[in-house]
Amino acid sequence: MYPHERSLVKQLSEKPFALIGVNSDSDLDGIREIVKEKNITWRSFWNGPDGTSGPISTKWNVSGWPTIYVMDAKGTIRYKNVRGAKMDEAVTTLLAEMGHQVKLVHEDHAENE
Amino acid sequence: MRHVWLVALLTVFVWGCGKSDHPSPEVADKEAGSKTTIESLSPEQQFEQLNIAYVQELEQAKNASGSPAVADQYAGKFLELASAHPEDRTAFASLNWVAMLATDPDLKNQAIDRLVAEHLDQQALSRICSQLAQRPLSDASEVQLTAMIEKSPHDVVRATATMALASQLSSIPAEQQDEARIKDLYQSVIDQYSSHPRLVAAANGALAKFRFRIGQVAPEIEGEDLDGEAFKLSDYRGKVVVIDFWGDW
Repeated sequence: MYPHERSLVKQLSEKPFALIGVNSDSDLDGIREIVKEKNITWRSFWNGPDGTSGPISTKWNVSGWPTIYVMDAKGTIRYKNVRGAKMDEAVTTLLAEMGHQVKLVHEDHAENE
Repeated sequence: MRHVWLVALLTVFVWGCGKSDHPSPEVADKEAGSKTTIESLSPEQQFEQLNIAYVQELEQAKNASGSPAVADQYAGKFLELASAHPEDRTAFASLNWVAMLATDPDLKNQAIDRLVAEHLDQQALSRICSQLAQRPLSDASEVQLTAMIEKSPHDVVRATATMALASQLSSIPAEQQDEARIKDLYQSVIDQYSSHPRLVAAANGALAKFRFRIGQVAPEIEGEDLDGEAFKLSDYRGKVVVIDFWGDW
């Protein structure tokens, strides 16, 4: 997961795109270490000390991890649980709707992780 | 095998207060089952006989695809039994049998229509509603469920009928759905049936899922990032956003 996400963020840094995490690890210090160790380069909400029972995931009715939503520029949910190449397709489609043509090229392994 | 279990359950359920004291009739020859002999049995005994015969025939049906045909064949007989003894509680049991076990939609609808018209006082209609929740929307089912919602004297029937109607209305292609009506139905379960917490929880779950369907505007997220800084999802309006609920376990 992380290499693909990282690659996406890097390639789209000049585009109207954002990857936002909602992290549900209950140990905040622990997860901050992980973020550094694993080079997680995007911002995440913290779901709070109750971990997977926290307020954000509860409000969004999340029952499995990971869960992914892709939204367009108006905030409308357009795709759900797309990963790897399918996430790429969703993102490039929505950017194309805004007039931004992008081609995503991932290094080995990044595309499907 | 599931059929056998269900039939047994239905029989036990309907005759809840135990076996009656009818003397056993002299029907040694079940196969011949001549009309006169069958009709000399009480309605309850006829119901039981039909059940037994159905289970036997079902077990004899060699392939799986034979079983719907057997159920529908007997459905016709149970419908006749209900017509022959409309005042007896056998009528309810027979119609209930058909509603739950027949696969032919016409037979099912006949049974459910008659149940709604003649047995609206029965609490057991809630079981039919639970089954209807899994079936696609039809004009017939919409009328049946609406009647139960409006006229059943039992909370549990009105609540399960409401859930079933909402579920059926949600089963058609998304662009044809009446979202407002579906949400109202779920909300009415939450508002009116707090004595049925499982149904309320199911309604809440369904409503929540509704808000996160493709095509819905995502609700706001207000929170803090991992450094404790406050931010909002709406800060990113105007961008394509991927939200990733993740954890590192």
